Amino acid sequence: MKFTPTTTVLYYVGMTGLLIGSFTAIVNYGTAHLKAPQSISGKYRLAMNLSCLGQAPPLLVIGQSGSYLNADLLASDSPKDRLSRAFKGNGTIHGKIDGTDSVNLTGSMRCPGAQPVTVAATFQQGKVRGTLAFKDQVIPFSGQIEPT
Amino acid sequence: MFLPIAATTPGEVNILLLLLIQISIIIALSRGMGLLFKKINQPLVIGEIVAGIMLGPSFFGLLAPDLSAQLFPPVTAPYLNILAQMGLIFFMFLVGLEFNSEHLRGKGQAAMVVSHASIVAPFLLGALLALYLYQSLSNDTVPFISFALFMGAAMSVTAFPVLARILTERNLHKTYLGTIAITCAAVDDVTAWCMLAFVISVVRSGDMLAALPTTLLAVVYIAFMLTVGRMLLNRLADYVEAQQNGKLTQLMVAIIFVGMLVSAMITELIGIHTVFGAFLFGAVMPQRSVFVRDLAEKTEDFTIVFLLPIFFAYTGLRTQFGLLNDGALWLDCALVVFAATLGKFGGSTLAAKLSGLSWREASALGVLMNTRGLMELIILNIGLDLGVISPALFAMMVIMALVTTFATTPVLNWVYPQRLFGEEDALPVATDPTYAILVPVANPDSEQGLVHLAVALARPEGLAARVYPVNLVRLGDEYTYTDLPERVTAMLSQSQERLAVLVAEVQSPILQPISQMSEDITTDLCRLAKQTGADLVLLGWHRPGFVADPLGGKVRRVLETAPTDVAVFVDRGLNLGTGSRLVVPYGGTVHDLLALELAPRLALGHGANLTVLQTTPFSRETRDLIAVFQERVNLECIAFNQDPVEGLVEASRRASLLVMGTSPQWGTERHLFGPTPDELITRCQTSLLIVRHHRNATPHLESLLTSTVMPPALVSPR
Repeated sequence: MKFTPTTTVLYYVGMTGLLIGSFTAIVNYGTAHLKAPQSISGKYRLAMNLSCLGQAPPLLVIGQSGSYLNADLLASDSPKDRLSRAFKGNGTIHGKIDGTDSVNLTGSMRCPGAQPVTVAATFQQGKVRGTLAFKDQVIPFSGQIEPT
Repeated sequence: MFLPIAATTPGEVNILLLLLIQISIIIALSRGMGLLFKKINQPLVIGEIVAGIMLGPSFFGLLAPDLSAQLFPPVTAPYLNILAQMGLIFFMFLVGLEFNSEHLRGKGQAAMVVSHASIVAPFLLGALLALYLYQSLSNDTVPFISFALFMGAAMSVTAFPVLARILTERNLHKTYLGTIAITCAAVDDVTAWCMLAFVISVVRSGDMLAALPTTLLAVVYIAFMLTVGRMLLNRLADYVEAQQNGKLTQLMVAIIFVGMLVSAMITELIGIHTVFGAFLFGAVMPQRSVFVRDLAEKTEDFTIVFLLPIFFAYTGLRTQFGLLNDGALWLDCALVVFAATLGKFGGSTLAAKLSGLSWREASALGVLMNTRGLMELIILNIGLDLGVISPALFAMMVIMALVTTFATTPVLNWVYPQRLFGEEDALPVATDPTYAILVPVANPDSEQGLVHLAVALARPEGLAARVYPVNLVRLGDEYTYTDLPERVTAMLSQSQERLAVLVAEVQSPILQPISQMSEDITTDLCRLAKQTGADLVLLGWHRPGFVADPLGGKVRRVLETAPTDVAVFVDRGLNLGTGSRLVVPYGGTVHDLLALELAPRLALGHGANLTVLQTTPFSRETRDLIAVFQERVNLECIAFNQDPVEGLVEASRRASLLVMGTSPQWGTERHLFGPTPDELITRCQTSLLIVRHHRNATPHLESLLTSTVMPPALVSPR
């Protein structure tokens, strides 16, 4: 196809129209119909007692990539690199968050050796409430996000 | 294993020492990986990006988590980040500096149409992909419009430096395809950065309407820089040219750097990121050759060797492939790569086809435009900093950038093989010359003697022979200003002028000069030897700088890899004529036989005397050969029973030229015991021609012998 000034103008008008029209339609649809999961990434200090994680309240560290969660349940005096491990995708507990506020995580934690663990929790405005299933017991907990 | 630097006193870390160690490791690994990737015909930048990733949690952190945590603790991350950001500012200034608006002028509507299509198609596909990825890979702090805009912009980018490098390496930059590719990449560059500035303003303000003031301020600033900024910089360039012939003093460099940093600050304050200000400041710099080249050369080494690897390492430290721990995430990653390729490759190819290119050329253009390189990493890092993409999506997009850049060279080779463009057509190869010699020339001191010897060797063939003096213009490392297509063209012109002067001095009609750029001199010489059908590659000799072997370095590599016979000429003022004496030591090897073929060519053309120093009896064929030439030149054979080196040194006192094969016997081949090439070359008083036979080469007397009545054994290959 040979581009003359007329065909070039037509081409640009068509391409601009296609770009604006398509992008507007995509944005309108996405904004109206799609809901991304809430952001819950951070370190939560839990009000619960778990002797193997020390005397101080333990930390639930959650790294988030959209709906994919990567977490660790650790003593609050753990080394820094371990406390940031979940943010780097190397946490030992995994799960997903969907459109609701509820989260189910499964994996393992050191208590003292690696022990299977399941966390069911609800997150709302920086607060977490849920249960920890661990060694045949279900321990309720609540907690609050720590300022970064 | 614990390092003392991690904790000099409890709770303290020697940050400076740690940073010095980190940076040393980063630079060393980055260069090492870059060179490794160049060996497999990949752009250096891919190796550097991979080096950065290797230092991060995806590789080093996985293999040695404790050591990784000690060497790259979170406490040093902010310092690395600052250095990486400075690297980006300076690199974007260089990108802007190398942006030449001439690329956009007079290239025809086709180029503009293709370039805009190559942005619109991936942008829309990126936005479409956002519909699919938003719910799984974003969160509610990111409005959908920001996510869609960012995905579109990230999919649209093309790496101009990598693309320009690939084009110049393949001599494609002057072809129609190359011109269109460069124009498209230049348009993409400007559009992508403007688009990114807009996306950042939308992301920071939350929606299009709130981004309006930022966008307006950005437009005002761009207009200011294009008018007032350009005028002021033009005056500065005038002043520099008037005072120092365009050469920049340190004061001028300081003024320009301050200007660049202020521009970066202004765009950051406006709300569109520092990189845009640095790019804009570079782009409005007056495009005057000396001024810009001087500025680029002063800036690029520190930026590219020191700062950019830190950016790659910082990116690597943030790249967590461990996040892709689910089959669904890997499928999403494959989809990202597919959408990016379909948008960029498909959009460019289709538009190029519509604008009149053949399918093959259009696909080649699509492949080139799909190169993303580090430009993509710059955009991705900004997206991650702004929180508009999640770490997992960041990892996927890094994989996409790596895959699309890595695939460019092999796919381009497949779609548009080198034999289909440029070089063969550009080579002034004669149709079936009876004898051809390729003469690489690089040193002005020795090139005349070398070409004279080549002409002398070809003389018996008369006008049917060809001598190709070839000057290969060496390409530097990646991203260097001198490797830009227009600079390469200028360097090629200089090379052509230089060869034209040489041809005029030697005054022979059989000379056909060749100028080409080259990334790997040895490989390109071998390729040219094949293309020209050279019977001989004649190299000049200079003492290598860093190797003990006097026939080492590039000479050794050509000797061992050339697809034809090779001769190395040690010139000590050779002047052939009637009465000159050529001496050929003969020990029975194929290389000695080659010497015995080349020496008569010289003797025939100049009426010189030929002496063969014989340590072993001749074979029947050799004896017949000697007999033939004894009728045409003054040839004598002398038994040679002395110590090889001592005897040759002695013989060289009475010779004009010693022609000898590479052999441990003569000390012209590396050997554990016995004489060394160094000994012979140093002690011989006369010029030397050291020759090495290639098993597939044609005998050098074939064309001469077929014109006379000769035994068939003499004209058959060895």
